[in-house]
Amino acid sequence: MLSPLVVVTLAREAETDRAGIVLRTAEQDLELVLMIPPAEAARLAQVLGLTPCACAPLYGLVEELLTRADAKLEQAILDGQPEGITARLRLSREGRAEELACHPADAVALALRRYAPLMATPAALAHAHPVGPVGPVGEDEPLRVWLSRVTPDDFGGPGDGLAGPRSDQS
Amino acid sequence: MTPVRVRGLHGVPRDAEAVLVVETLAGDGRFAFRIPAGEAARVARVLGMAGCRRVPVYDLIGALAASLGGRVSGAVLEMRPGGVAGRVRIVPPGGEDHALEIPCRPADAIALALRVGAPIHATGAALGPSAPDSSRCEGARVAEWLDRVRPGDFVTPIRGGDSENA
Repeated sequence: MLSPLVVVTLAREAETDRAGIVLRTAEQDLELVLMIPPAEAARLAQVLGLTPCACAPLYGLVEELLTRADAKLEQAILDGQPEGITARLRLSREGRAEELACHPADAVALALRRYAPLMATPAALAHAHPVGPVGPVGEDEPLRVWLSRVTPDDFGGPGDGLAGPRSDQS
Repeated sequence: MTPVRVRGLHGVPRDAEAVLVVETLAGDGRFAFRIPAGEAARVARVLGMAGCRRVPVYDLIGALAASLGGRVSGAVLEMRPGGVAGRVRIVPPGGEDHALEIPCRPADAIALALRVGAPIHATGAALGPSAPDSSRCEGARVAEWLDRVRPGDFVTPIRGGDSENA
C-alpha cells in the first residue's frame, strides 16, 4: 500500500551546506525528513522556485528522454531500507510498466515537474515520525531540531515568491 | 566533426564557477567555457577529481537510455557565433542511422560521454588556442591565465533546444 506525500519545505544551512527536505503524508499525520547532498538540494531548490533561476537543465534532459521514449512518469516512489530511503520512478510505456532507481531528491523533483504522484511505501514511512511541535534538543529527533532552525531562504532567494516559512508555520 | 577531449577543469573560487577546457585530440585547438558550480561538481566526479565517480542523475539518464534499448554513444559540442551548445547522442536499437541527439548543457553532454567512455566531438567554428595547456605547463600559468581572463574570453554555453535547458 503506497501513501501519497506532499513537500512541506526544503531547507539549507548555509554554513555547513547541509540540506534537508520535509515531506508529509496527505493526511498530514506523518513527516519524513530526508537529508540530501548539496548538488541534489540545489536542483530541487530550482524546481521548488527557491532560487533566482527556476531552470533545471538536467531534468529537462530527463524529460526529453521520456518524451522520445513515449514514456510517462506515473509515480515517484520512496522506499525504505534499514539504512535510509531509496527511490524509484515508475514509468509506463507502450502499455508496459517499468521502474528505474534514482536519487530520492531527483524522484521528488521529477514528480513535482511532471505533476506525478509522490508516494511512500510502508518501509519508507517506517522512517517517518508523527507531525507535531519540535521538542527540545536532546529530546526530539536531531534532524527535526536542526530543520526547525534553518530556512529555505539560504538557497539564494526565490524568483517568484515561493520561498518562505514551512507551510505549517505560515 | 572534430574529436576532442577534456584538457582540464579549473575552479574559479571568486564566483563559484569553474572553467572547463576542451582540446582537439591532436592538441592543436582548444577552447574554454565557464560552467556553474553544480555542473562543475558533476564533471569533477566523472573525471575522478572528487572521490566517488558516481552521479546518480547521470545513472538515471543512462538507465533511461537503456530502457529505450539504446545507449549514450557520445557528445557533440557545436561551436556557434554566440557560444557553444551541447547535445548528447543516444544510439537506439536501430543503430547509428537512427541516433538521437538531445540538447543539453555542454558540460553534461561531456560528462555523460566520459562516463561511458564515448567520444566527444566538436563541430562548427574552428577551435583556437585560447586556453593554456594545463597538462604541459605549470599550474601557476593556468592560475595566472584564469586570473587574467574576462567573461568575454570564454565561449558561452548556449541554451539547448528545450527552453528549460538554460
